[in-house]
Amino acid sequence: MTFPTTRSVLTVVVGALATASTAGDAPTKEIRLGVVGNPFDKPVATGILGYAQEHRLFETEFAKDGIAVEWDFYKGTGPAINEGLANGGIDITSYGDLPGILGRSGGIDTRLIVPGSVGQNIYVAVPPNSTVKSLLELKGKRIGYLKGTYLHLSWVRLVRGLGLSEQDFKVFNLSQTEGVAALQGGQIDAYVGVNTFLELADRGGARILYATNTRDAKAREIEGFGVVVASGRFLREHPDLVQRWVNVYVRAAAATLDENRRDEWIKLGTRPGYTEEQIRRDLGDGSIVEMNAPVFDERYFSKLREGIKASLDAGLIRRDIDLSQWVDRSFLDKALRTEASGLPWAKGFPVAGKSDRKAIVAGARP
Amino acid sequence: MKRFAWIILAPLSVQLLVLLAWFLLCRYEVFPPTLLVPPALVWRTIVDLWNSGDLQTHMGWSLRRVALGYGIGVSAGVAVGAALGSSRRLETWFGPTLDLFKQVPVFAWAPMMIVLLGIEEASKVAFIAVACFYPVLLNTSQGVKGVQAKLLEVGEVFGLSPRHSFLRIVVPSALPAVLAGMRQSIALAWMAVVSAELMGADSGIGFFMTYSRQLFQMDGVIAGFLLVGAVGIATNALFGGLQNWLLPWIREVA
Amino acid sequence: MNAKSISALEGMVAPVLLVAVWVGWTSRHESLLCPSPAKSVAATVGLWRSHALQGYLATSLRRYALGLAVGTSLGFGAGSLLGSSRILERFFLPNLHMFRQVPLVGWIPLLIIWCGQGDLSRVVLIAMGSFFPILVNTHAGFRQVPESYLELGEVFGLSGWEKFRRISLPAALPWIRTGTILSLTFGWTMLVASELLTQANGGLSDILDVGRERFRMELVNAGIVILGLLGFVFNLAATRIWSVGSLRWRSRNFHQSNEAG
Repeated sequence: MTFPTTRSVLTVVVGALATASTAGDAPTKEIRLGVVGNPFDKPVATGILGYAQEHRLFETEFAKDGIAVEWDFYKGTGPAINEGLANGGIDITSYGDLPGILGRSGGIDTRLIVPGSVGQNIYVAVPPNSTVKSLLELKGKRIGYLKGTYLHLSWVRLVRGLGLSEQDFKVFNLSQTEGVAALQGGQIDAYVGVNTFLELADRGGARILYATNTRDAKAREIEGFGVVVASGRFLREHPDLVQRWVNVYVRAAAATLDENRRDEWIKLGTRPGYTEEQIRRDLGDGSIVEMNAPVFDERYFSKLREGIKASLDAGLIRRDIDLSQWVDRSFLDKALRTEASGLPWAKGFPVAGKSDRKAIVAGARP
Repeated sequence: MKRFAWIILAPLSVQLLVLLAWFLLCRYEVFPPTLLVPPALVWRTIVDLWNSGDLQTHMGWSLRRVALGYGIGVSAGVAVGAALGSSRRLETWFGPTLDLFKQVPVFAWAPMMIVLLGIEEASKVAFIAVACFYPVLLNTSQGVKGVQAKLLEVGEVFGLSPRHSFLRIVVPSALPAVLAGMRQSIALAWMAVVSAELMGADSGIGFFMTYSRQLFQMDGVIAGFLLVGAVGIATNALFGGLQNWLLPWIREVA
Repeated sequence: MNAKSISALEGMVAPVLLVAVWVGWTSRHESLLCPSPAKSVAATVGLWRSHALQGYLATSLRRYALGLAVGTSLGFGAGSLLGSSRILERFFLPNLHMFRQVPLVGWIPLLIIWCGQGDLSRVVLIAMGSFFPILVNTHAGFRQVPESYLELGEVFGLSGWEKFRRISLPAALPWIRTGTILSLTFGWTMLVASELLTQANGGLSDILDVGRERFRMELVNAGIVILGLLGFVFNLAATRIWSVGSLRWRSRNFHQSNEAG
């Protein structure tokens, strides 16, 4: 599935008309979900959304009213999704922390309706024959990453911990595929990417200098997280549809978030083409439940606040974000009551990193 | 006076109308305000960029690359063009080969440069040089060829040495064509640097546009676009002025 | 053998020599960055066999045709208008000239944001690229039609439309011819630019892109040859079309111009 092509002509017009209209509550024919693309270019989601996609949960729910569900995968990941949101081409999307923050701060009308996953890893890879031993040695060197993605923010926070800033490096805006090629061709000195580097490193195609899948304190501090947002217009016009969507999402979460069924979760992760090994190592010691539970708790809010603050400090956004205006927890809270009552994770977690995995495992047992 | 008003005011009024349309489209939010940023905001961004020095830095990098690539491309183009234009033999032997390479759309050379020379300065300068080469080559060779045989004969009559003949007859005769080629090349060079920067760079105005886009700062994208356009227009005007100054006997037709 | 064939042969020496050197060099030092011509040929054949090439071709040609159609028709229309109306010319020509100086690739980020990632942004770019050469040349062509011809038309009682069709148009034909040839070439250049600078688009430039990303020089070579070949074909076609029938006499080119607009 590629970019909607005829749609591109319509989105501008529709976007214009939609923004201009005051009461556009014509019955909708479909819900458009924007999903972040993967390095394999397969129109397949992972995690909770992946489970919902595989079992066609959304489709079944909305078929009752003759509403179709369209999944649009964006190769440009977060930044491209922002453009889609801005011109009215996306109704609901799950994407990364930085793109979400950039979009909101940049003025896109969205509401954060469900927390995304916490614990997105970054992998700083160098060419296989590189002599660099520490991150500090990369100062002044050529680094590649895709700007505007969660990788960007995590990198910025990582180097700030070392007393450096983004400006201390020569930064090239490259996608994962371009980055790997550039690394191997010796055109850049390091690339900040996703877990496909694990396999590449095994094959000797690169060396991982730093990765957050160790899940130590520093890693947990800079790891990326996600946001699930709905376009403001869609939310205002179809709050009922949004509620039902969130209900289905929570239902999917209830079905998948079980520490005892880690293998099934990992299987979900392999759908686009990652290997089980990669997913397992990416997961590391992390708790599936604690990292993915869709609940607005202190764990998530602290990450959200810190993410926004870090973006502001690094000059990535120019206006602060008022969370009370952005977050709309009514849908999720209602959904949790109806679909996930009794589940221990529905009560949320304290600040990330401080939860006890054993306790969660114990609690998640039915 | 009335004529002056016509020449200046007529086009100016259209530009003002466009500005007004832009302003109104934003005022009534015909398009999402995040995508079509109001002129005032774009202006403020440009001013901010100037104050923070970022504008100068990025522009500096882009212009530096253009200067280098242009210099190389034009020198090569003039040299080869003059050679081919003056020697029938050279043209027969090498003309077709050059023609062959000319068929390739100029942007297609960019990936090759990147593979061979990396994503830093070298590939960009090389790409710009290649882009500048052909217009200058073609125009120069035509210009040199077009030097009327009669003039050269006069030179012979006067007993001018080949070098003198070249400097005092060929060069001034061919100059209009060479300058025309150089003028085309500068436009192409500017386009080449922007596209090279859009493809992969760590600095420059094209990089700035990409960077703004990734960070969803449309005002930056529009500001970058306006700056790119401004430089394009300015360099063309500069060359027009240069042509008029150096060759006052040839008046530009628009 | 006459002189012409001899010079043709002499001209072929250089390229043949180049290829010979290339083959010789790579048979000894083949590297990733310098694959043998055979490799590039093999790559091209492979693309053809797997039907990937046909797909790329179709996609690129579709965009090209669409962009050309829009650009040239608008360019011709605008050029004719500006060529016949002094007032319109005064208002719009300086602006169009200025607009022409804005590097078209600078539009790409804006086009992608406003028109989406689909073909619309590319077609618009190609249309813009093919618009200007035709505009400039058509306008110049109409402008240089001698007043006396038009006056003669008045004498014969021809209507405005007839004057246009029977006097102005034929007189402007050499310029229009130049304009179309330049439009076709520049439009092709902009097709390549639009494909290279937007992502994942299924066009011919993908061959170049993949070659660049995966460091497979033979693909880059193949891409360059294919694009160059097609560019040559279009240029030839554009020139040939004007040699059809009565057009050949009418459009014999007294006016040489390299100005690509």
